[in-house]
Amino acid sequence: MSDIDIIHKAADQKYKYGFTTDIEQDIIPPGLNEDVIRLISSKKNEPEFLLNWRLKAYRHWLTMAEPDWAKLKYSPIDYNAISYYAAPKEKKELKSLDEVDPKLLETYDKLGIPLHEQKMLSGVAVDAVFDSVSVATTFKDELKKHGVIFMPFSEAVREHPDLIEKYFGSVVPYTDNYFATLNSAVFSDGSFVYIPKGVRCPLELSTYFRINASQTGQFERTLIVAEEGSHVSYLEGCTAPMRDENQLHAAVVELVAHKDAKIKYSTVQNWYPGDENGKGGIYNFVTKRGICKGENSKISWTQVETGSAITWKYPSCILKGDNSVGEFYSVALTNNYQQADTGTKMIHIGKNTKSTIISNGISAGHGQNVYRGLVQINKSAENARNYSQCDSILIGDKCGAHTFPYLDVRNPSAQVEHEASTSNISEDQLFYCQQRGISTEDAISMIVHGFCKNVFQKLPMEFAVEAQKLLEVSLEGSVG
Amino acid sequence: MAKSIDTSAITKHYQREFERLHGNSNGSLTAWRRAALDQFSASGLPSSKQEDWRNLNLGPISGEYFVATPAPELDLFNNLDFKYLPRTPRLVFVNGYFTAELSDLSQLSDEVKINSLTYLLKTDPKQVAKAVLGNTPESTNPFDRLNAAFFNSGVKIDLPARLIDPVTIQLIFITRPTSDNQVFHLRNLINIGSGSQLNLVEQYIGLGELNYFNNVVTDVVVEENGGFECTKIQAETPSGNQLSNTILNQQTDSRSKSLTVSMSGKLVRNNLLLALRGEGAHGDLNGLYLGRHNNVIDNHTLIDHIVPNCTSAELYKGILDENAQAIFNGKIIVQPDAQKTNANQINRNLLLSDKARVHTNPQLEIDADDVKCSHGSTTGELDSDTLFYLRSRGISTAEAQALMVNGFANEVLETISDDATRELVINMVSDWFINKSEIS
Repeated sequence: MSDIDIIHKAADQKYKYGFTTDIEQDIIPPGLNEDVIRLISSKKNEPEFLLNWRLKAYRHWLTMAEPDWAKLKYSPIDYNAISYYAAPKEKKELKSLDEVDPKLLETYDKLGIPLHEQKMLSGVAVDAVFDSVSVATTFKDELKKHGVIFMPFSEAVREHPDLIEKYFGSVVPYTDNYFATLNSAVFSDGSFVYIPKGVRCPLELSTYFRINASQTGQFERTLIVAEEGSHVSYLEGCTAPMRDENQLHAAVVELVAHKDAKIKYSTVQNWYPGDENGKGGIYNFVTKRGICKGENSKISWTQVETGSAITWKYPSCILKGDNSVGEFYSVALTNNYQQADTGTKMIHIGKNTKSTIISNGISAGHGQNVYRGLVQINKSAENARNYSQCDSILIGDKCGAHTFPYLDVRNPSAQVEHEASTSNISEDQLFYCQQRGISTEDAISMIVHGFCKNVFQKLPMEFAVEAQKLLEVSLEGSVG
Repeated sequence: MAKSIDTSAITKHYQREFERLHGNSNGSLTAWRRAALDQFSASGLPSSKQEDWRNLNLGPISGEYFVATPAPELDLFNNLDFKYLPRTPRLVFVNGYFTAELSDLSQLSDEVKINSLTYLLKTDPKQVAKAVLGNTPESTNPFDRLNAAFFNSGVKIDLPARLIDPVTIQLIFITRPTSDNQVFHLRNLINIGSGSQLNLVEQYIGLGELNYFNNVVTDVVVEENGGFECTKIQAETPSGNQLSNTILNQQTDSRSKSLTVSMSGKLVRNNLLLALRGEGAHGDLNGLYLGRHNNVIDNHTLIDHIVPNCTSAELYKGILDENAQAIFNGKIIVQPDAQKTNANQINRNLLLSDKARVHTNPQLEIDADDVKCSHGSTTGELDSDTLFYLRSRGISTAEAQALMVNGFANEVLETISDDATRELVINMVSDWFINKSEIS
């Protein structure tokens, strides 16, 4: 078989979702200073405390240096060349989908996300973020009945300032890291979810992010609070149109799980990865962190990363409550010149805390894939348990797979296990399939799907299908 | 976070030391030494914020240590009480000084060239210069640079090509400082000719109560089809420190097996680089670290697969008691050309007390596709089910624990090929465990 051919084919696979929607946009000119931040804040009618928070973050950001420890190579980002706010001109309050700009809806249709259809058929409530302002929120009434709050962040700031003030920045403080601090200063919009005590959220919540306007970074902010005994599954998926300039995406996601609460956060990330020569593509620097505050709480991260030129993302769990559980399931695929430095942090603080890490990396073309993770067992974490498994597949001889796990154990009763392996698809496996009449391409497809199965199983049904499709788009040619 | 160390005072101190020792000499070796000192002065002592020195507090060796000059002080040799193999050939160095009274070279084949570096530096500095100047690539480790500037003892071993019988040599380095805050810079240069085999037992023994610091650099080249087995035993005193920097270069079809047993010491840091430079080379890296009191043991290993068709296997195990802290950082690099690489790494840690801690960081950096690489790491305490099994058969808790700990350690120790060496090390490890109550 010729790997080279397959890689070339895969590389030739054009980004299917590359198009831009021609909607008049309200854009702040590129540049970053306190005035820009004040302007963003005033455009969104934010309360005083939020503006002060933004300014504090900005001032702190000025004292920070961009981190260089990740195994990523990219040309320096000019933060003053980015426009920090872009919103569709449409500013009316919308109650139903009919009021939404038909062009916007058309965009979603092209992406295969017909909002209204989804509303009826799949029972998924979609809070669609088009660039930076949420324009349509569905299923609000159904959620309202259960007392679930699911709304754009900017709206939540106005309607539930007490909740925002209590939880906002409580997991990812504005001083956290370079990109989170930048986000804290300039974040545009995002989603806020609040599940009251004892409520099992009746729907899978989902947000679609999309970068549209050229040269606008997107700085989303997501906050999910699950009160005692509540249960929520949140889905996030991204596709972005084709662009030549590198676009910056620095989102922050915060999860708070109280006693007995369960949060499941699933991501399918398919930002534009750049062309086959590594030109263009999204820079994705995301800070995601959840805290299991109460006993028996659980946070589960599942991610399928197939897009972005640069992925810098470490969804983490702080296991503070006794018996709390953290999970991280990841499939990261890098093709052409994509680079991914991703992984997780599991901080065990409470007694009998458990964490599981399953990370599968697939590298093809010139792709570079890094797993970087930390498992920290604090002295207080009696009987903590961790299991990590990081496997990588290499397709082609120009790509790389790297594993950097950090395991810090300060309590002898802890059981920490880590294993990792890296290999290519073996000739034996291919031969076995081929002799049963399966073509090389189909065989590779089967093997890769099998390799990712343990993660796909963790995705909600609707997403599992999409995830497999995305994997195919990214590897088509080699993965049938 | 560790306290930040004022490095300017330290670099000034070592510059003064350099003037004291080498101020009047010149020549290519001195120029090389001076360049190394300049590199050290530029970088200063590493801080725990640097990735390679993460979690390590270099406090114990950041004070003003004075470079000890090897000299015979005969009264040192009385009442030396330590475990070693009474076998030959054996070279014993006390405070870097080669002591013929304790050594025995009668069984050594004439073909093996072996010399004390102190002697060579006096009689034939050009030969030393040639050996160290050819030492490429130069390490950026500040302690290697410091060693380069000051080394004044150690051993140079050259095995000619195609020796029929393997050569076994025992090196014993005894450190009994004569005053507080002495530093000993040892450099061992070993060259194994093609087709020959060297079995080396390297034993470091600390004596006395005084503070000291051993800074050891070992440079090994295994030529084509050569073999090298090294058992290194580090037993410094509770106030003694050791930093070691070992570079193992392997040429085509060569084999190596190295075992590092770290038994005690206030601060022990081992840097071990295994560079597989010739196709078909195989390297085994094994380690056992035993920590107690406030021992800090840090093992940084790097296996560099530079060419295709090489294999490596790594097994490091640690047992940590009381306040001990261990760091294990094992990196495997597979360079873009190194196809058909097979590399495995395992690190296991046993925590015996609730104050012991371990930081492990196994890393894979793989840039070739036709490879099989894996690593695994575990940390935990003694398995309660196994303990119960033994207790239910009438074995006391202490005995059962001892059995389990010895069993845990023996997996590593059984890799030693030589019976006598293995027995010595196993005895030392059992003693370490039995001494538990006495020392604490």
